Amino acid sequence: MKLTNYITYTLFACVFFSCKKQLDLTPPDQIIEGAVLKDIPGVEKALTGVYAQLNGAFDNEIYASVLYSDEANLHIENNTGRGVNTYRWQVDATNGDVGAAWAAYYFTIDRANRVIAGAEKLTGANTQQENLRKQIIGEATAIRAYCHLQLLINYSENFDGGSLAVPYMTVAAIGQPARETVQAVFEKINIDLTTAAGLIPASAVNNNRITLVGVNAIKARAALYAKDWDGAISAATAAINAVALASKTAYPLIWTDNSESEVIFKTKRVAGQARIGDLFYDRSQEKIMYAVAYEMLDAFDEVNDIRYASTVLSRSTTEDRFSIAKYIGGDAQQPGRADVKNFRTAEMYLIRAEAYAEKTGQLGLGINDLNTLRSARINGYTNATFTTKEALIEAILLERYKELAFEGQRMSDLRRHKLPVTRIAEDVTNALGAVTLAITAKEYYYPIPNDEMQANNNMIQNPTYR
Amino acid sequence: MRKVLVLLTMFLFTGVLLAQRTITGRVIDEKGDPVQSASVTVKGTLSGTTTGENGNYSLSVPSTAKELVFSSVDFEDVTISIGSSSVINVTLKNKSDELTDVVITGYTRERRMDFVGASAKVGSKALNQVPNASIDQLLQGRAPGLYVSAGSGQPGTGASVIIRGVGSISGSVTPLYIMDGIPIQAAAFAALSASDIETVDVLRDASATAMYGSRGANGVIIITTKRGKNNSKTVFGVNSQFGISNRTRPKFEMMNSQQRIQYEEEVGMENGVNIGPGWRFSRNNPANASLPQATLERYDEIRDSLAGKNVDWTDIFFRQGKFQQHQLTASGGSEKFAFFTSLDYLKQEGIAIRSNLERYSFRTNLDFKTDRLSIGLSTTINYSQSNFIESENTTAVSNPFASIYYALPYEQPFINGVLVAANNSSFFGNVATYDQREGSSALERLYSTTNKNNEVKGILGLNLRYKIYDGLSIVATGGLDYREVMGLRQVRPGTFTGNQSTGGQGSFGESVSRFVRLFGNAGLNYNKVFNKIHSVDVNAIYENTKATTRAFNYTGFGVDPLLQNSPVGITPGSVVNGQGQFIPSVGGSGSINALQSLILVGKYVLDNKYILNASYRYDGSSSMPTTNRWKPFYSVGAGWNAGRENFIKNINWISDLSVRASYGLTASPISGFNYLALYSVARYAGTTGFGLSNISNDTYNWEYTKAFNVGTDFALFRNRIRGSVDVYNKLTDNIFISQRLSATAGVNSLSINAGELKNSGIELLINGDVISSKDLVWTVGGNIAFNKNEITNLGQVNEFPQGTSIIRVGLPMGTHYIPGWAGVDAATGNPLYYNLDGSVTTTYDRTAQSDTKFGTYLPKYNGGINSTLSYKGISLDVFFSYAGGNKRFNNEDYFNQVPNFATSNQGSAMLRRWRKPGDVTDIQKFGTARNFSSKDIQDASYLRLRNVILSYNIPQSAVSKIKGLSSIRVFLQGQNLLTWTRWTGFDPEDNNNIAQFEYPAARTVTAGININF
Repeated sequence: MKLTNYITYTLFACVFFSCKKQLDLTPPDQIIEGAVLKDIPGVEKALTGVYAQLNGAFDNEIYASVLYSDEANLHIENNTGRGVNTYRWQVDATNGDVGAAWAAYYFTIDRANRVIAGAEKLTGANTQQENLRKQIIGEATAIRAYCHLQLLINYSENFDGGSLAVPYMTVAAIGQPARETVQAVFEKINIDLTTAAGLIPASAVNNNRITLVGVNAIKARAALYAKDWDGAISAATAAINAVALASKTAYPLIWTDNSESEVIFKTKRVAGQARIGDLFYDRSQEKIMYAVAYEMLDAFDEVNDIRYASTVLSRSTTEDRFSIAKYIGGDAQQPGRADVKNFRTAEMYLIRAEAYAEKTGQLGLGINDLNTLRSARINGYTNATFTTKEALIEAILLERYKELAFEGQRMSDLRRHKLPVTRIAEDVTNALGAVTLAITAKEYYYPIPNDEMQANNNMIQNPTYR
Repeated sequence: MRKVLVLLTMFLFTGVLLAQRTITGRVIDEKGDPVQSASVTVKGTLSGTTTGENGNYSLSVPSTAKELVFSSVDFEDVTISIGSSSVINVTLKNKSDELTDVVITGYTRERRMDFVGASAKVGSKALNQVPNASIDQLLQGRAPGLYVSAGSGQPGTGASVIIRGVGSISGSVTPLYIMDGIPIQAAAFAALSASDIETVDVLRDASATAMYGSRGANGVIIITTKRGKNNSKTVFGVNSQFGISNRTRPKFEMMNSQQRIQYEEEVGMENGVNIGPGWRFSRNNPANASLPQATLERYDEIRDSLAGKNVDWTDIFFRQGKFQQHQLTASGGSEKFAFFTSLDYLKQEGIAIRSNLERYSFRTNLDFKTDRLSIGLSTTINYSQSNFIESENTTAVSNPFASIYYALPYEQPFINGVLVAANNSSFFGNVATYDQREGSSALERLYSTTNKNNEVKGILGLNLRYKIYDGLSIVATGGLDYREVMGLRQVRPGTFTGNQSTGGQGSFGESVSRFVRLFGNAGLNYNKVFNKIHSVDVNAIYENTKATTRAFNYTGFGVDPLLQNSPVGITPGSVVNGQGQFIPSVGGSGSINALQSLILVGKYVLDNKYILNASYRYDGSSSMPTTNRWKPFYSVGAGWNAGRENFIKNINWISDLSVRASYGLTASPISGFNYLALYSVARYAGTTGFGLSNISNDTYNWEYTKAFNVGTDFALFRNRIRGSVDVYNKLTDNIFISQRLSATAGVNSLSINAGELKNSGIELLINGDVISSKDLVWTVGGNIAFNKNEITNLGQVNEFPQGTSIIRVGLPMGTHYIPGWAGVDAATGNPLYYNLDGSVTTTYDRTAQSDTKFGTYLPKYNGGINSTLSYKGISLDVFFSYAGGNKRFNNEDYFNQVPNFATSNQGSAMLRRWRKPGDVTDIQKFGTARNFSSKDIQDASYLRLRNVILSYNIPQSAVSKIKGLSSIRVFLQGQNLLTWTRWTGFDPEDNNNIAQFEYPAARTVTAGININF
């Protein structure tokens, strides 16, 4: 009996004396925001978190653009239904393929805003710390501008200055912001990019992150869409001067991630992360989901154009199995895992060429840029001549189709020039009539995602989806 | 009343006229206490009296009277022949039926008559030896107000259990499970043996659940396992059964090879789309126009050959599953000790190849009792091993339940004895195939991978009671719920799937997740009867609970074929020429939460007639911000045992009657740290950083449920009809609304305490003895629960569309939200949809056209019907479960009809698609967008013959011839034998709103034997 008494009293003691502190728990594998943003090393880690969030956002754009445009065709092996509605332009506001980039970019912006707010509250203990703090703010601000630019490119009703673009977020807040005009968004992008340029040191050269060159590249792309030709020329020139075009030997290595030549900014993929190649090729079944369009094959000079082999992978000698080569990657153990190139010097040449073409009296400079790029890519290339602006711009557009193939630019290029999507006969076998997408078609522009429409009372849908 | 008195007087008067004599005596109960108000009647007449306060009676009986019947509410009737004696003393035995049963609430054990809550008891008969390995699934249809639906037929899968309707929008709706006083994990029953269970008490209203405070709002399920009896001889039992499981069939048809080839050609001709060899090798295909005659003839041969093959994929992926279960038990007890111990082995093969469950369950329950001290120890340790199919319950090709439909009927998986998968025919010797190899790939995947779980589950509980002095006791409970699941995922090297792994040489991965909940409480109990009529029972308890989970996983690559079943076969990761080689992946997670509580439970009973129950609980939780950390919960209840009032006793057809009412406040359980702004690990380019994963919410609070219940229990016509009726109204406020946020907020949604939800309903339980003779007994019963669920408030807004459903004020939870289907335009073949104004259009706009009139996936009513017919030793138990008024999306139909998947096989319904103007049909033109609409919503109401048992107890005279044997029972049992439904998919029963090739419930037939000695 004594023993049981003892047990009883011990139990009592155990229960009653367990202190109230027992309820003050924190999660074992997460960290409270205040603990992350309390010092500069913490804010730096949060900036890494911003890049982690950004990583993958561009994939969504690439996927949507490839499916929507004339870059690819729906291969008969695609038995998964993946992207089929998008490819056939059977699109409404609930379509996930074209809507995914929306949240991906806004989430990144939110995290960037948290980093900026956190870093602004701190001061560095020494110059080195202070410079690091400034760089963190600079990179986060540049990311903010970049994300807004991509949102504008994807979701604006069109690129005219007075048209509706997207809300520009500069603070992390829960709200229902309204769409701002294209012009207003461009102005804010430029302000952010100027701020960023003043904070990021020239010594930062890691192209996995946004550097000063990266800021110029963003600026150049923004200026192109804003039709700010002078801005495009100066920013592209700055980028071109800092990072040269790849040599003919280096060019193929870009796509196997064995060369950093002309890569201004890329989102890095390490082992175990999402493989962008999986979007177009189903490894588990070894089936092609989306193949390189015959139109694209026709556009290339297979023999002399060194880009062909890095763009097209023919998987069969007997059947038409043309895979997208750009995303095979360089890791034999993880095929399909490739770094996603957000900005390359080639694009800078094409931006500058187009800007020169648009500017009166500078056609020659534009022709030079186009020829420089082509001779870097095509063996035995002889310089072409153009007599009109229109002819040059048409050639630039075709060059963009080839140079920037599968890099998420085609659909916005067409929209920027208000051109329809046209697919050739061989590419539309499984398109169920999705042959031409006129600029007046309902689906020509992407809708604002339904989730956003439901959550934000101030959001206005793009005109054709209203 | 008066009539009865007059009649009585008349009879008494008649008695006087006849010869009569007086009989006296005393009626006592088993403890020797007097039984007052017991009725004493002359058998066959209404002549009688009732006993007084001391149990004494005196009755004049006519000389013709032969027998006296003694009866009282809580006791079995006793009939005694009068003979020549003039003094007859009687001891009445307590009776055990629904009204006098013990209700176990976890903190207390109550006589049913003293308990004012709504509770239902499921007995061991419904739980033991049913060929279904998950205890929660066995409760389906067995108790009113309990909706149980299983989402998968994989052996051992847990079910979704909802008591009295869904009380939360995004939070937990799962009831709290308590086993022998210890809280245990929900939906983790695969390793536990249901054959060890004595009873399950389902507590539904606040007077029962408020004792559990912040965890009680979804109801409480109390599981009590078998225990030994003091002073009983040791009994050994051997229970065995064997059986088989078969697949139930869906109501849709797929195309056969002939139809398929024809379909491919038609689609090619009509739409120019190439969906297979039927068009590729067609003479009508313009691409073939210029081919030489010999080639075309060869093409015809290919087409004819394919059309002539019909592969039955169901034969390849499904099987007849074998089932066996064996249990050894021993129980008994001396004056102080009692024990129950069992060893249970179960092996169940799923109806899909590879899936199975094998488990070993051990249980030992020990009780020790002296005058002052009683200790009860409950222990169970279980080990189980499950094999799963690939991609269970998804629409992926590798899910066998999907691929049997996706696979083309002319696809032959084995070519010259070799399984040829996917398009990589080169891997298998360059065999040319004209199909998509969907079934073959799924089959190859099943063969070359492993998906296995090993589980160890232990529950330990100690209950202690020590009488300090008169009526006052110390009570304490302590225990542990432990579960460790070790998962194994292998992809064998040298196989096609193994070639897809990192490094192309298979993979070997293991995961371990451990759940530990420590639980302890201690307090005082005061239990005393004053002046014989005032009964008081009060508990004051302090309780502490802490639960932690931990998980870890790794996957290694480059597996050596000779050591493929062990982690030592993994090639360690390295970097060669700047490229990672076989870098393994590692991950893990953890969680923790704690709850502290002060509990007061009190009961006062006056004269066994008037009952007052009350409880108060003060809960502190680690999952709440400091402002809302400690919150009180309470309940009050009152009951009246009208059956004990003399004026009711005098109504002959009422055997017993009680009414009760309760009101209380509870909350549904919350764990985690959702109130904090949190960052999680986010890696970029090899650097570790932190990214936002949760935004803060300082006003985070419990979801409170206020529940009112009024009910009655009754027994009529000498207990021939027994039942109960409960009416309830449950109002849950402060409900978390996952408020969809603009993406500009950085997260998709924010949980705010803003909603209000109402569940009201009525539950009926009735059992009747249709025939009740000495040899033949037929009992029929059933239960039905109607629940009306309504969202009554959503704070600032009136609705939240959530994909294909909507949360809107005035509508029930789970309401579908999708455009209405208006058929197919006979002129153009385009699909037609309804606009909200009723007009018909060809445009599909989910934002503008979605309507709410297509019902909800939650049933309006559900329940069970049972019948037991026994004649001598033979008995037939039949049990049906049903649910009605629920509508679900049938994604199986959708997939089988959507042109995006036309290269896979499709439903034969596609053959009646619109093809030319004037065609009147329900299948739109091929190639038009097949959108989600009300067309895919079907009535999922069902009535299922859930269980049938035909058993025979071999007569005692025969059994006792074998020395040592005490009883033998043999039985035949069927589970899920028949289902009546209008649903066309696999299985109308599911735990969500959409059918996506879920593993259907099997039809199982077993035969078994129970031997006791």
